[in-house]
Amino acid sequence: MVDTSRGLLEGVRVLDLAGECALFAGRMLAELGADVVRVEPPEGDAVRARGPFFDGPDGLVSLYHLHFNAGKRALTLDLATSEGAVLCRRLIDAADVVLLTSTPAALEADGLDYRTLSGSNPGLVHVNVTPFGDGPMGEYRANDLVITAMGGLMGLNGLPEDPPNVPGAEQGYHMASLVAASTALIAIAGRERDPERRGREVTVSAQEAAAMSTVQTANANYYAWHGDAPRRLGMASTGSRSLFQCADQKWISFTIPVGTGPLWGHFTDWLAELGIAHECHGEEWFDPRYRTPRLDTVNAAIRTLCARLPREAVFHEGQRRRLLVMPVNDTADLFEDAQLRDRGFFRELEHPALGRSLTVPGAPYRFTAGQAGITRPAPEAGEHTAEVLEEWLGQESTGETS
Amino acid sequence: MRPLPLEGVRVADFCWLIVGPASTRILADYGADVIKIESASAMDNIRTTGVQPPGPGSVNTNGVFNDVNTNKRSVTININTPAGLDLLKRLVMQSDVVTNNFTGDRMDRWGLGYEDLRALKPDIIMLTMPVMGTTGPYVRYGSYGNGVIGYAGMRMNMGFPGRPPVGIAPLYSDFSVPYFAVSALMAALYHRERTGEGQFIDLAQMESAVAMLGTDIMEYSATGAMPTPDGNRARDFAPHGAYPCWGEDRWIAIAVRTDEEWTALATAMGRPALATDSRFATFEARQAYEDDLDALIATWTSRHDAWQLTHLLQAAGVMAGPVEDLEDMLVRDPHLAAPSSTGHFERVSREGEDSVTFTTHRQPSRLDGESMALRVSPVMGEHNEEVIRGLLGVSEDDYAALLADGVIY
Repeated sequence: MVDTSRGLLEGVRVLDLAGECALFAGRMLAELGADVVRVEPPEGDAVRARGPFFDGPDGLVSLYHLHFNAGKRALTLDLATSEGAVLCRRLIDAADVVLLTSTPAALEADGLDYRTLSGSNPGLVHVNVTPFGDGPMGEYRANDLVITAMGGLMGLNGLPEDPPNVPGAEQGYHMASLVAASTALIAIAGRERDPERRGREVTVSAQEAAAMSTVQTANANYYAWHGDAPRRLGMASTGSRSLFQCADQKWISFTIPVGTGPLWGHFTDWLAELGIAHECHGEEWFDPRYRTPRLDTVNAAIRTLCARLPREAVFHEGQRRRLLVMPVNDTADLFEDAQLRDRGFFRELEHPALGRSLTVPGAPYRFTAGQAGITRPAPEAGEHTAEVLEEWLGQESTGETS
Repeated sequence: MRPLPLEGVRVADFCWLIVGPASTRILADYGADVIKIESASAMDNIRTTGVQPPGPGSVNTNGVFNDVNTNKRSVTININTPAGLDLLKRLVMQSDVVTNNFTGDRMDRWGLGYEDLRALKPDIIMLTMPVMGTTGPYVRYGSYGNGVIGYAGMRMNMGFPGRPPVGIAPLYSDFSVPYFAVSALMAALYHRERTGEGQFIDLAQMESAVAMLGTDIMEYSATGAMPTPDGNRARDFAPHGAYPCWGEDRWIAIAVRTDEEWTALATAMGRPALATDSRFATFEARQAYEDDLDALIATWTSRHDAWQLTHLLQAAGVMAGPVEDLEDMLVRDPHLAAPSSTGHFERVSREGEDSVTFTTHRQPSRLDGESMALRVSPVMGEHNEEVIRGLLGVSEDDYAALLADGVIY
């Protein structure tokens, strides 16, 4: 029996050679119990220079590193030396998954392409994430901003009178990493069912991953069928979905469900109980097709209702009436949120090097057959070089490794 | 050709709306036999919401439905009849995975909760993925993706200073959460292959969205600071923004991190002297004079076409790309709009009564260099006979009786 007390992926070895756009993929696999080892050059991971910082705006301890490399171990290798390159190749031979973020040409030049690596490790799941895949723009470079712009996500965000607005917290990188991690796991599960236990080559275009996240908001058929390209609408987004300010100045998302059921009546009953005058009387308002061109009238009533009550009251009373009312939380709200607290989503993770613990987001899933979540802080540079070489390669440590 | 990785994995799929079906679509695209379960009395009501083709349209031609149900099979079984429930239990016994995104205890009330399923098939994997998860004080609260994003902090961590919150595009979580769902299911499937043990998975959509906040949680914990809406600016880049281009509402995104990239941009602008201008020569200077920098760049970009500038700047080594709209993605983008074998979109067609020609996306990952093939989403009940007779072994006479009794409908 495999011991999964530390996670369902216990024993799955992942060598993380990824750049920024796929850092979160390794973190996800670590959260599910995989042994994720991040390879750093002797001068240290470039990620360690990215803010925000633990110790102030010009600090040295990168929270970017602490977050995205949480749960991983670290090993220092100088890939520019032949000894380092040979060790890296041996580690890949001992791995189940390798995470990479280089163009196909660069991978071939470094001997890290799938054909080469699968020659000596046929079970390897080789994951490569690039901004534009191997298409005609395969050599183009992009950061999160350019990925979300070219993935169509940015153009949908913001008020129509403002420029398009890039999403917060690098969603282009998150989408690319989500696709990379989930496809790697499809390949790992599939390998377990394959009598020959063959690996797979997984290639991810970050642009396509970002484009994927716009489906429906920008359904391709708006254009194909009606010649219409949706644009950013600010808070007047499609359907009865808008943001409103409550009596305590906090924002709320107030959605009257589509469909011709009785839920519309739940809303007008609520208005009546509060004595709010409105212009939405009559059976015809139960039909969303009637309401849609008259959203201004509906929104005026919602605005009055929200302005009358504090946010907590709108939220709970709205949900009690089966309307889709949700607070628009900021980070501080999340820390106080009763649901996240009850589910134990946030965890305190000891960071011995900092002499304190930091709160980290947990895994968004609970398994009855195993644990999920981050159990070790992001590594110090080279912290696990000796133990990884010993565990993965059976190699006695000789001190400093080049 | 090599089989797809999930061939032989069967999913009894009770998901509805968007986030659930989009999750099981990924499984179907990678080879799983996903059987979508509905009935005329309990239809997936996404079929009546969203874009429809010109003409009358039907519950089978809906744009949203067709986007998230490719490669699946469809059965229509009335679960509120004893015979219908029996058929579904027999389907569970032939499945590896059971999925749903209902809020509350609907599966339990049908007698299809995890303990019930486990009694039918001990190694079953069950995923339930409501907005709030399956425990906690808000367990019965519901939302579409637009509310999930706001709840999870994805509206307050962005925006332009002094402007009301808007946040990320309305349904973002409906298309990001599915990759968490698939990851959880694959970890569970891997575990079952190794140990023979099934399990129950509780996934909260809103927790999945919180998990995508990057450093926001740790930063608040460490310093008490919350992300300040800063338009399109970024800590480690300058310039970094969307700049107007020639045409109506046309923009190019440009990101510069290093001095080399800045020199390349200044040269491409025909103003190489800007590279050594004391206001812009270093990263710190560029951030200090970012308003001036943005104005200079905008003056230049506004005279040019977004795509032509993109190719020019990329050739010069500068990260840049158009802020694409749907027309860019479907027509102008050399990769996304490429013919279907290599591009992002594919047109799939269905003939007959519910005929439709439909444009949908491919999965953004390729396996062994191949894009996953797409089969158009099923019409309601399209696979009743092959699943109920073929897979469940119901006789021709019994099948006719089930039809006559309204169990299959």
